[in-house]
Amino acid sequence: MEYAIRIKNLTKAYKIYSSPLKRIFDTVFHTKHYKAFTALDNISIDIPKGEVIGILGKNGSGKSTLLKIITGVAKQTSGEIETNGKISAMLELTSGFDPELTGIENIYLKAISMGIPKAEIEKKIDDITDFADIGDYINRPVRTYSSGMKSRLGFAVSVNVDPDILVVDEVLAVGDDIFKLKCIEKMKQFRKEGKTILFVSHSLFTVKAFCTMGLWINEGKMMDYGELGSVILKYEDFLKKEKAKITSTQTEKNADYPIEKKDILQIMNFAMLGSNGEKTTEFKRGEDIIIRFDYEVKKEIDKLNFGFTVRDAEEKLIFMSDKRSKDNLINGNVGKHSLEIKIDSPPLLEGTYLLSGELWDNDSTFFVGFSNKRKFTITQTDYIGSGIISLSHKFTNQ
Amino acid sequence: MIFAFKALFDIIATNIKNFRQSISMSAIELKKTYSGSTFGMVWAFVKPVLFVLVYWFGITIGIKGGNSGNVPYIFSLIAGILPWFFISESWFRCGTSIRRNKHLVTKTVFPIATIPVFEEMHQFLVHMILTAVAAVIFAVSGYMSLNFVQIIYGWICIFVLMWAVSLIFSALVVISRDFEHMIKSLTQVLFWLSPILWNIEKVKDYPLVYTIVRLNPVSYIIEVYRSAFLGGFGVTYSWFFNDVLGTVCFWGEIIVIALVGSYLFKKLERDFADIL
Repeated sequence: MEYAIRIKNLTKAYKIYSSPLKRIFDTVFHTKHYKAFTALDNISIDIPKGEVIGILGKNGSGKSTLLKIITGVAKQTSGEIETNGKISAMLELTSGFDPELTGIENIYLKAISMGIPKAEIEKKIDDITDFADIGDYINRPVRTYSSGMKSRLGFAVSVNVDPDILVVDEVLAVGDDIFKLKCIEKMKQFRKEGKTILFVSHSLFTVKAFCTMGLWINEGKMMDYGELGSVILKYEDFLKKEKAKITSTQTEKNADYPIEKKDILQIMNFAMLGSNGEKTTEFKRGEDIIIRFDYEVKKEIDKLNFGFTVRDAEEKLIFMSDKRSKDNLINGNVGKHSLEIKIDSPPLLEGTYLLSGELWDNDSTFFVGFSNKRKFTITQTDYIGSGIISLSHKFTNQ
Repeated sequence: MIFAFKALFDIIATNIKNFRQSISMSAIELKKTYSGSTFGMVWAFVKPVLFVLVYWFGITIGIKGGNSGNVPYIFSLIAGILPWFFISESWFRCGTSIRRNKHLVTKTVFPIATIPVFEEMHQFLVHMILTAVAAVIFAVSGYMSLNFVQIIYGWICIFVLMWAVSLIFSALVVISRDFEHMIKSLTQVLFWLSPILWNIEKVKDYPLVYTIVRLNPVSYIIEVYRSAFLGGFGVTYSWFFNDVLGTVCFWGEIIVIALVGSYLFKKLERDFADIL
């Protein structure tokens, strides 16, 4: 197998000095007056070409340090690293822009500082300005830009240098949804061209949607590396335990779906229907639950997917459908469509439950919720046991 | 010692390899410096002219001093202060260049050793234009001779000196901003310890002071500039090579500064990205 990056026993220790002058003293006299802080501890991974690696971990776990070492910005303390191909780093999109210079001038500034010869930039300048898509602003000073525009410009330069390895550090958090889609589109194209992408994002959603492999780092140590699904499972489990430690009242982050992103996708006429086809939020135990709504796609979405989640009244997760499932693909062409999801005789017992659900682009972070912890109740006339769900059972008796 | 030599060659090699990039960077830096103002580059000339006039006024009219020898004081002053403008400006700007361009260190893979150089280059361009303007003023006033070709040598001296000094300070300023303040304070000290407003002959009676002033590399450069502009009209040395001892000392000092600078720079370079 061909590898894009090979890392062997990589360790990075920061030198923490109580006074900067001690560092100079150390440099001159070869002494050691510092405390070492180990940011990365003996990491060994081989990253095959053409994979999209999602790097997971809490803040301060060493993700950014790893990316910095891979890109060559920072030097490791020990260990070896071997990279194969041209790397383009997106560690921070807007850094290095000069506020007084115009957009065009800043494109040159950024590209030159990335080591691209002027002649090559001149060839690509049209692509870059097209991609940034900020209109006449391109000839105005960058200080007049909004933060979204700055990011667009930065992203446009970084992706148009034709890298073999793209390193993306939490940069999609900025910009509006349409631009995010555009970025994802571009990265998808890279993926198709067999380029390697390293991707750090705190949004598990994005990682799930976009990556093929996962690397989980915690406190500088590699916890897991491999096929995305299994890494994510372990990481989510870890996050749950961490959260439980901090507070039990906090709700899960994924539940706070932002509402309607009307320019791309709009959801209307949501209703829950009982088995008789009437609108209701009260169901008998064992009765089919039908979720039904219309949606309008205003910008074509390649792989539109639905997912739903059922929680109990205390917001404990009961079921979350597989968000990557190819079986749940729905019509994403421009136009009005309607969707009906039928939950066949759910085994839920009497009580109040919460329904969440969303439509989302299988290739990106983009999603629109159709229900956010909507309450529905299950009633029952006969007592068959207590709890959340009924487990159907048989027995033999001799 | 061996490390210092290796470091020096390494830094020079990096700079040669990335020379084109440095030129582009300094062109943009120049634009940056003067963008956002209506008069732009004009300010690069207004400031020195004002300084010259103010000093000339202060010294000849205020203190009624200055004149010595057969050249009017204002010409001796211009020839001396011209290199000083470059030295003071580039000492600060190159010295703080890496800290000010920290995004190049922490966010992109950039040849760090070229940062002080491209910062120096665009200032040097302004310096060359200023020198040309000064040359016109001298020529119009009748002070121009073949000795002026020495200006090329003067340019080399001043560029190499400030590059060597910037190696030390650009690395140290990254470690601690104390050194930034140090540059600011020392600039004033150096200004008065160099024969800019006064003639070096005036301190000849105090051997210790004279030796210190002569050992100051800035003095040497000022003398070279004076030889270039006024060499044919009775200054200490008509040609720089008449001052053998001074020339040897100057280049000896450059080598020492460059070696110390390269040593520090290369030793600390690994940590730059971590500190900034």
